[in-house]
Amino acid sequence: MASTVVTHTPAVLNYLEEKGRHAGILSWVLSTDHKRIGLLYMYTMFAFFGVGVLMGLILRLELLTPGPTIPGFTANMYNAVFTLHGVIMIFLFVIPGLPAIFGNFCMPIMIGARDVAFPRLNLLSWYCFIVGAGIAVLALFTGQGFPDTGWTFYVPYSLRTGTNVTLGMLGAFIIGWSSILTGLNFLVTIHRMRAPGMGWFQMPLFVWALYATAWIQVIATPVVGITLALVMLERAIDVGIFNPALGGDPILFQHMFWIYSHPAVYIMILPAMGAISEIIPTFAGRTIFGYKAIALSSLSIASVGYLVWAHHMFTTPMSLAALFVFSLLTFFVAIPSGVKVFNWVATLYKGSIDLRSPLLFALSFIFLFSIGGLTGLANGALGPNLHIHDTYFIVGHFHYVMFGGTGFGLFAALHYWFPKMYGRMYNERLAWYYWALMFVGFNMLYFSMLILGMEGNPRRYYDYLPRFQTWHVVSTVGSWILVAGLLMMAYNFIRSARRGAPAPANPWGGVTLEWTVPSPPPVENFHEIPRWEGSAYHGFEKLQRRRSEAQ
Amino acid sequence: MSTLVGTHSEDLPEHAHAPAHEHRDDTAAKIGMWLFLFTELMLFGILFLVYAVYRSIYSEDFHHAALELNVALGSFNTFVLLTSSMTMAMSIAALQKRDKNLSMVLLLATIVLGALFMVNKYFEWGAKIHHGLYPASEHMRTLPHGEQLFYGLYYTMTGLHGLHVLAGMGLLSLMLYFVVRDKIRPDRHVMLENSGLYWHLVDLIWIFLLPLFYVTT
Amino acid sequence: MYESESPEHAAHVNYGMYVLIWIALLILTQFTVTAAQLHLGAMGIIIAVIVTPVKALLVLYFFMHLGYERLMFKGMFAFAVSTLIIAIGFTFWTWCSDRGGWGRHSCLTRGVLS
Repeated sequence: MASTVVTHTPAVLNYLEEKGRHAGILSWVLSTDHKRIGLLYMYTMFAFFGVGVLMGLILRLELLTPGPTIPGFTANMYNAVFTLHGVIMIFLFVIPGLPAIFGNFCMPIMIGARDVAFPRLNLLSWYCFIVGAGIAVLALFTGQGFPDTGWTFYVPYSLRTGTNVTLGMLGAFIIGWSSILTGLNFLVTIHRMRAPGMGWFQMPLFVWALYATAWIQVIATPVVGITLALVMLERAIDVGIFNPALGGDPILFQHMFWIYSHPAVYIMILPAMGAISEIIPTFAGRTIFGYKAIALSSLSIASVGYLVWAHHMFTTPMSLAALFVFSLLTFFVAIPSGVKVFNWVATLYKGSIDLRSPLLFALSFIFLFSIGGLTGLANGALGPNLHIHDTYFIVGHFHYVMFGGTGFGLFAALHYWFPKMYGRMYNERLAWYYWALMFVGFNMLYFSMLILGMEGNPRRYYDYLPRFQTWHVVSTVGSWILVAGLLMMAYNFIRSARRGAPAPANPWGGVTLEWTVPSPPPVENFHEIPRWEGSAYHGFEKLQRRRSEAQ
Repeated sequence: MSTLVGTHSEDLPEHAHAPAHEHRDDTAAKIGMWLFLFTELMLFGILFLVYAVYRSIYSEDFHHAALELNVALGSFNTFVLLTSSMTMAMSIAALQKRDKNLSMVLLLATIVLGALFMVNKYFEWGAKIHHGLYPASEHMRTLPHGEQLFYGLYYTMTGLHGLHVLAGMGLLSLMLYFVVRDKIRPDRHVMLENSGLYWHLVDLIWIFLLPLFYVTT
Repeated sequence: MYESESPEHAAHVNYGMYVLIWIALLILTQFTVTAAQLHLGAMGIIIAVIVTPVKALLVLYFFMHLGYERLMFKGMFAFAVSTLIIAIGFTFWTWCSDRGGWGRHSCLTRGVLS
């Protein structure tokens, strides 16, 4: 057995050329190659993102003036559209998010493995994603249309509404499986398949972030699974568990929902933070400041993040003691997040900064995420929370975190790893233009919401008082600018994937393992599994030494 | 403690030198299975929260409703599942001791005991439904809220557990086929071990369901 | 004793051991059921609350071989279970803290010991 070593021919095909056993589209949808699965996720997720953006545009257009704005667009349709926007963006875009795309594509290469631990399970999780999404789409066109409950599916309304709540929930339930299986796969991969010599504290920080995220995916997702299942059961056979008419307690639903859905926020943001931790040292040309602090802060965000869910429910019956504890714990989460932000900034200090589009997006991530995080503290404080509860302030806050954080983090990662994925460069100058559009449009769109919320405009309403109109107009105009930027970005990537200039193996001077393989990477990544020595970013240390000797 | 297990004395993977096509890592498979079991644990665990909350509101009703359940039947089913867990564990041991026939017999016994559990469950549910005790029935609507919730939880939790028993029986049948076909052998039995873990988990959940519903008085 | 170098650790677990565990589980079950039937009130429930986790541990440790796995498995298991316990306990406390809090007839005691 031992003598039958499989030797690769030197001219091994890259993963985009190598078709495997199947041809055409089958070579993609039946592929168990982690890189192809990463791209499958990327294509489907961006398709859904496009739909979600369109829904958002419709909502903003409707809110341009008080009262009905779009002819024929009723308040009920508005409810269904904001639910659809939320469900798509949360379940089909930000929750799979960076792990599904870049975790799949980069993580095995970054730890020096040929694939994930269970490649077929990996493909299965993509299918769960697609089937779940398909069922959610089915909910759109059957019965009485898409749920109008908001993505949170709060009972008792979700028990009573005639819309297709059951199908929408079933979709979310199955997508949950996709998330669990991805997390499970990543945990085993990171535990078992690191290159020889790569200890835990020699892993790239993106891998650390994925590790923390994967634990949340595995441990928290079943909670929302059973919660949704109970609501489905309730709608089907009236067991009474959440139905106040039968003695059930709707508040219990909120607890169970947020026991998952708050940690889910960290499923969304942690991988983005991990990607930022990769980008910043590369473009600062120096090793990350506070490696261990960043790695451990991911774990502590993940664990403290379990204990803060009730801050979504400060206006429900809860004793002062409980309110106080949850508020305090919420403030605690800010500490590891702050640790990360300060370490990123400290990494830039005295670095040799090469300001290119990935760094540009990474820096805007820090700025936007900081606003999102700090407004989060305003929400987490008991007094202000009563004032801004269920207002546009909340909407502004979580868009700063989810879009300004995860979204911009994902765009930063896309600009960073795109040359590796396709072996082609994109148009850097164009990237600066659309970055400017997106950054300006984003802040107009969502900062206006923060102000509207402070002034008392409630969220999820079809209509508003005329005195709020100014900021609604600013916000809507911002949405147009933002979308213009997004379209330019889409154009840049679609065009460059086919016609961009060939990319070298290491266009940015990165030091992690994915930059040691050709762009695009060969089918099984490594001809020979590398042996890792030294710290995660030791390559920069050599660089820094050379730089200081030259001075 | 950790050295008891054997060859993997440290956490670093040692297979990395082997070519990818010969890649086989039983420890990885086992970690994967345990992680999966954690998801099941959370799934059922949160239902215990629901139970505790409603029991605290409606303790009298819960008390009263629990008297309706058949303790003997519940205990007998516990006996069945505990026995099946033992035969499952023995089946794996038999395979490791290279006794294929005994392993198959014990595996078959496990599946049969699972079926026996489901038959009992069928009669238990059947009797309840016959008495009009099922969600949203007319009789149910006349009961106090707490009793309705008790039965709601009873059907939800034992039903979900029953689904897991069925899934486990399917899984074990597949494993039996694999053992017969020598796809599971003494030198590669991690699949059987993992299926066993799943079966034990089903047993484990039942161990908690018994006092919640049957022996609360 | 298990030989430390053998990967097939479970092969050394003999059938007799499994039978012993099985008998122990049956006795514990019978103990809980009988205690409940004696109408000891809260005592019966306290017995169930103590005995049930013991039964679970026996299954985990011997049938599921958790006792023979290396530390990592135990650590992961402890992490998952403690997360569950915290989620249940914390929610229950939050939920109860507005409904009578502690004390003999409080929500907490009713939820567990009634």
